[in-house]
Amino acid sequence: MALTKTIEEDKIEIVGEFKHLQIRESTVIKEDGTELSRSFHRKTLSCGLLDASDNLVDTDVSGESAEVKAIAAAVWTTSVKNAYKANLIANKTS
Amino acid sequence: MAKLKIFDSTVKFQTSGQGIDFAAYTSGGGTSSHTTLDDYEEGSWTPNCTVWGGNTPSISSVIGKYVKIGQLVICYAVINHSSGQSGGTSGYHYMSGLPYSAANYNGAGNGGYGGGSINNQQQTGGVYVENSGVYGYPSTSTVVQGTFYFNFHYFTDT
Repeated sequence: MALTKTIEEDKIEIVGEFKHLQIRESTVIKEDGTELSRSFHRKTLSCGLLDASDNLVDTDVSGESAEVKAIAAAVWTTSVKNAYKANLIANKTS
Repeated sequence: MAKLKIFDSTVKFQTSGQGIDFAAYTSGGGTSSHTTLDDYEEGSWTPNCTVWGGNTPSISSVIGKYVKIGQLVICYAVINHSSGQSGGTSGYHYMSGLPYSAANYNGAGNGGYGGGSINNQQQTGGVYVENSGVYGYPSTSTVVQGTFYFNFHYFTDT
């Protein structure tokens, strides 16, 4: 009887005009190759966040997988970041 | 009338886009994507918390849970500040890393795609959801140390 645990990013989606990355991580427990359980952990990543001076600070993806880093580099273009920054400023309440 | 009965088993759809069609129970009837329950998922997420001004509070623990039913996402989160942080006169928490990106049905320039509440047993307040994050405004407008509980919901297009 062998128990195995694997964790993988089984979904990486690019969502909306601001190219949010939507990532699902699955944790699968198997016994002799038969799946016993599967649980999900999710997160979304935006290209940045406003600081107190309304500058867009790039999201740090250094801790993400190589695949996520590559997608972020490809889709978070300057025009996407500028559009997202404008959206965040327009929606500010304070 | 035939009834489907399932004992000691689970209904599984083999392909994506399938679901339970409630069209027969919907006024007007007909088959529509708007009457089909085609998604359910539950799991965890990790709130990444900052406070007004971009400060990062000392966090001793975080908990994030979600349930997605169709397009509706319901989230619960707990943030434990182990040190105090002042948010000034308009202090708020910001948590990034939502399990799903929030859909904007309000049009450009109109924030707040979803809502809910925040409390820390001493003060309560409102939250609003935008893009991939959520803002929480305690009632005193000053973020202080302690445990904060977030409950909120929003729609997603995915």
